[in-house]
Amino acid sequence: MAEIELKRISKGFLGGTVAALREMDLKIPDGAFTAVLGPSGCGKTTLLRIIAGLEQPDAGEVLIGGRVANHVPPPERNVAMVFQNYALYPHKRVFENIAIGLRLRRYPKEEIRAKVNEVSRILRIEDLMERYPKQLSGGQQQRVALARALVRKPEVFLLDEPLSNLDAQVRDSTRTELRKLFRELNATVLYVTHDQTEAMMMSDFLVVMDAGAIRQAGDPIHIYKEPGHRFVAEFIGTHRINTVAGRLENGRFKSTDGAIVLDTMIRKTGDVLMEIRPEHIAHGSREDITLEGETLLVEPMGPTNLVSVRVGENELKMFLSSPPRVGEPMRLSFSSRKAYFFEAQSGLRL
Amino acid sequence: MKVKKILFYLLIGSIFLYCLFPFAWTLQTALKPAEEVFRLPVSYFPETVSLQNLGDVFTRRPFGRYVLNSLIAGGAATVLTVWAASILAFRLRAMDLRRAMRIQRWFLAGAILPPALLVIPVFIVMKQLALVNNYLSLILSYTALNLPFALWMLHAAFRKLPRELDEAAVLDGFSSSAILYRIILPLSRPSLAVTAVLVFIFCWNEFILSLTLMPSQAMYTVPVGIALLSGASVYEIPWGEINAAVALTTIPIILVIAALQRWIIEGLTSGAVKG
Amino acid sequence: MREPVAGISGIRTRGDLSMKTLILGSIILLFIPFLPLSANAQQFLRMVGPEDVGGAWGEVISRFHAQHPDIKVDYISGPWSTDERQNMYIRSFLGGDAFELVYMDVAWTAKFAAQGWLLPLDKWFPPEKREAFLPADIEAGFYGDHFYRVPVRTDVGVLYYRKDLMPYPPRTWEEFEAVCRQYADPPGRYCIVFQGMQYEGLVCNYLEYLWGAGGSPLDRDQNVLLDKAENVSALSFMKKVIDAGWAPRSVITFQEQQTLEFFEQGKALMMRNWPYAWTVLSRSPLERKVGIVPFIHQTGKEPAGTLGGWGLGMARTAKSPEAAWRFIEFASSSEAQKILHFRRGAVPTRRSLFQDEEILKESPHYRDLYEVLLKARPRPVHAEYPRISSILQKHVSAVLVGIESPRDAALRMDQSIEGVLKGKRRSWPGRLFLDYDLQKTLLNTLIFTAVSVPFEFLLGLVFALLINLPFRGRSLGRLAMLVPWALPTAVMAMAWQWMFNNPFGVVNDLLVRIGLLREPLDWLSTPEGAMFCAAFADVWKTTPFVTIILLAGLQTIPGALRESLTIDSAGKIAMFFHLYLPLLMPFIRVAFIFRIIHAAGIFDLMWVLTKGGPADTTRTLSLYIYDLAFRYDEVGYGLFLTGLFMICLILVSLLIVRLTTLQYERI
Repeated sequence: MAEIELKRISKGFLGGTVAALREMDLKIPDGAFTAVLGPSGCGKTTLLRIIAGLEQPDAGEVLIGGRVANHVPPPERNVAMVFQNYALYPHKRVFENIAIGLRLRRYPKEEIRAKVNEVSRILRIEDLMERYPKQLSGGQQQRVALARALVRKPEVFLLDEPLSNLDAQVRDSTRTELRKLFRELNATVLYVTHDQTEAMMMSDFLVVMDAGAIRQAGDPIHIYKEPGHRFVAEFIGTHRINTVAGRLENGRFKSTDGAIVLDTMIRKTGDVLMEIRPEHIAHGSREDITLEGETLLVEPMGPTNLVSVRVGENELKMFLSSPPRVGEPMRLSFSSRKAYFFEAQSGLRL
Repeated sequence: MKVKKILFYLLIGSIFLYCLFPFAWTLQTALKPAEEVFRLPVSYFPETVSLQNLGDVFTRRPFGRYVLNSLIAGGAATVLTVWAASILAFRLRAMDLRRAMRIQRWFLAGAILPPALLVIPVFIVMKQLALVNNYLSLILSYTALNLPFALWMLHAAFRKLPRELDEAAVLDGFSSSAILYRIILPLSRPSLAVTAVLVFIFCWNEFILSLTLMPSQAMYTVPVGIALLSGASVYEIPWGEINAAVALTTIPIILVIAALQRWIIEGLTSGAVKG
Repeated sequence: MREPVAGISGIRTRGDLSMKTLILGSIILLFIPFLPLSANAQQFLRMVGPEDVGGAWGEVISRFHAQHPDIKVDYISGPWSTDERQNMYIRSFLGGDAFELVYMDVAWTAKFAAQGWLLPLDKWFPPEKREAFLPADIEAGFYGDHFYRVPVRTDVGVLYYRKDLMPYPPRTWEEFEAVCRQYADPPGRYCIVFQGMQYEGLVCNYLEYLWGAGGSPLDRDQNVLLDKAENVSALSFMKKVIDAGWAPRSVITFQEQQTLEFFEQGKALMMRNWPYAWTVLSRSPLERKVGIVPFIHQTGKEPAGTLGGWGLGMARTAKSPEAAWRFIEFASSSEAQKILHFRRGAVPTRRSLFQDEEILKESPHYRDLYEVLLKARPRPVHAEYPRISSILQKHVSAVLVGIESPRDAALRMDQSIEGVLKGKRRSWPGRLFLDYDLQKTLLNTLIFTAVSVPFEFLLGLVFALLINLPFRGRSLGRLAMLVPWALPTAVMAMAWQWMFNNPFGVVNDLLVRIGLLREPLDWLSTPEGAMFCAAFADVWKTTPFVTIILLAGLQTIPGALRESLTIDSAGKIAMFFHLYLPLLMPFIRVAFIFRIIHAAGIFDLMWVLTKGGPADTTRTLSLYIYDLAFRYDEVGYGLFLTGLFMICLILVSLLIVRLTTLQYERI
């Protein structure tokens, strides 16, 4: 197994007019199941392809297991990749699809057979070996694609949105299975996804990307609790975080409309954004910051309701199991410790 | 409604007739014995079917040799064209679409010129290379002539295959030529077949270059041989034999076209959508 | 080789491998099909002649083989038409694999010799040997100071007449008119038949009228004399012969063979032909009913027959000149000439044979013929003779067909030939304005394009719209449509020639049956008819191409658009103009440009179907340029015109793109 390190990697497209990655530094721990999370177009797939060797970075170094791998051709990097659309060879049977990588590396026949059998047993596809990819369901194709990656026992697995082409039910079961499988293998996995739930649930190590840059990397729970960047706070979380624009002066935050005022520990002056998650706002005045507002909208969500409340010029969302009627006045409160402050200009956490 | 339908089918029927009539007429003339060919009033169905003309073409004239020449030149040119075009199309596919299309447009612009305008320069070059009366002169010029078309067809076909397939192959350890030969080509077999068939037909049909580059009679290709068959006899133009030769030349084409009709239309029109 | 836009850059690093194989493979392939043609160690000689009817050459060659077992002579049966055989030789010289033995017409000698394609024969054929031959034939074997062609058989234009039907043969034009008025009864029995098709034979016929009127094409200093009154009266008289009904109008499609058949069937009183006809006639019902006289002339002028005949020369590139000479010597010997005479009716070139008992027994008319032969005149000996001849053919043909008056024709002949001879000395651009052929062929090209392209489009569009509808048997319809597109143009041109044949063609038959024609039409020998046939065949051939492209276009029109227009209650016609036409425009444009360019560059169809005739009315630019390069040997000028033509086509294409690009495409 191996550790992956990227040093100041840059990559541009269309003659450099579009930057996919900007001077990115990243260290992925050995044996970690790492999720790379970000919206589409943030450069996460490019990152994966650079590690695989399918793209050359314009600048910077890729280190796999401590060795510079920039000029190592893809097949020799000892990485395996599972593609979003699986990329199985339509003209080869399942067995061949799995075995081809070994064949090209000139493994003896018996060894190939043994390895393929082992992998197919793990993935429970033994009965499909004589079929063509077209005769398989989406879930089965996905397993074959996985088998093709597993059979080579690579140091690094690269998975590009492997679940996105499956329907919801299969996806849930596969997710659990994948996690189990790779935990047993104790392999370094790089898992690209745009689904934050998936990323949170599966990863030991989470990388959040946006616009070609890494916004935060680390333990997923920590990232959720302590987002280092405005983008991270807004992107991660089951519901969109509340944002209030305002100004910080001498440790006192005052929203632009003046309706929300609170004291903080931050000794800094300037325009900032205060953000607070809906789940951290409570009804009544239990917490230290209490606000008065008017109910704007109630969206039922089964066990609970998402309630929008207008406070001054701002609109705050919160969860309430017994919602007020629209138009009713509301009192709500939150703990100032749960509020995040970000510099308005750079989006960095204060 | 019914009248409309009948009218429609009449229209379609007349188009059908219009397209096939010359061929059908050739065939029926070819099957007539010599006396019946030159008899008035013209008979629309041969009263006696005779294979005399068809045989004469081979025994009294070197038609077999012409066929052989056409097969050699056309066959080699087809192989060469499809091969070169698949390599080029493979490279175009690796580029982004806009750039690839721009390059392809240049190729096609070159292909639009009628061969009559190319014949003099081509002849001069082939003469310089001492390739006149050599199969190679035809093979090379046919390849150049048909390369843009083949490239266009194969590029469209290759583009339909997902890019990830190549990438998966790279990770599996395929070399780039192995990706072409073992993945892309096997998966594009129908397009490859249609392209090869059409290129071969174009070569088989070509006239002016073969007329010019192959001046000796032993090197005539089929169309040249037939065109120069006229007036080859003192007493009359051997229309029976000419029609037999025409029929023999065209029947294989029609059979192949019939067998591949659906693929050909699909290949031609879907290629056009891209271009 | 580093593109910023990398699809698969991992592949690119190794990708050059396939490029290398491509290059390497091409080089290897260069050497595979080198199939050597004539790598024979035995001395191997080839000659091209017409089909060896009667086996005369076969016997000459087998006797020669008996005497010279080390030499192998191969007689290649070429087309019957001498023009075609000349082209075969020219192509073989240009191609670098020349036929060793050049069996040539008198008229070819100057050009072939001027090109340096022939080896002078002086060292083998000294003056003392020449004396045994007819003087006119020897004279015709010279170009400059060297001798290139040993006469094997001679020929002269003579007038055959029916002794049984008329009391005396006409000698002058006046007598001829009188005889015709009195004894001819067209259409059952015409007065005369001659060779009126546009080919070399027409020039031979015409020169006899011209010489008979006291004229001549060129004087000794190569000045063109064709604008003189003699030429006008010669042409007027030829025209009169046809217009007055003395000759059947179909002579404009006749070569020697048709003329002879016509005469043999008793349908004419007189025939202008070569001496070979005598042999044929003496074995026909007309035996002993035919006499020979020199051709008619204007009162007070001298009669003259055009010298024809064939002789052997040798290609400069012949590998074994000695062997070739041995064959030439044998083929011109008394022994061989007698074989050719008895088997083929060839007139000997050795004087002694005209007193030969055996020959005179079979051909008593040779006594008369000998006198005619002494008065034979050669066609202009000029390296540019083929061009001169083709100009003469064209205008004489134009007069006979009735599209030029004799006066205009005479002036144009004069100017064109002057233009060719002068133009040779001018720069190419300066020549453009002197080049009558260029103007004429350009006009033909424009007419052809303007006629055929619109029809192709109209039909192609209709076909595409129909075929695109869902109906039973649609795939059969598509197949039918592909057929014309996939068939070889040159080959189908032969099929069309047959279908337009007079009288055996199906087109004539159908039209007569349904009553549109009263009698079969000679489609290919009238200017309008030939142009029509060419356009018709071209429309047939290329409509499917337009259909296929438009079909591709129709498939890009989303069904949703059509439905939304239907909801907007648009009628079919409105739908066509608001939806189909604008969205098809890019496809229409591509097809249109392609068709314009290819119609303008048409070659295969014309070359086979009409050969540019009659009277050059279907000769297009490509045919002219091709002739320039491969018949007149003016490759430079031909290339220059090709370049100009190409530039014009590109400009036209750009113009079309400009005019047809719709607003929505420009964004």
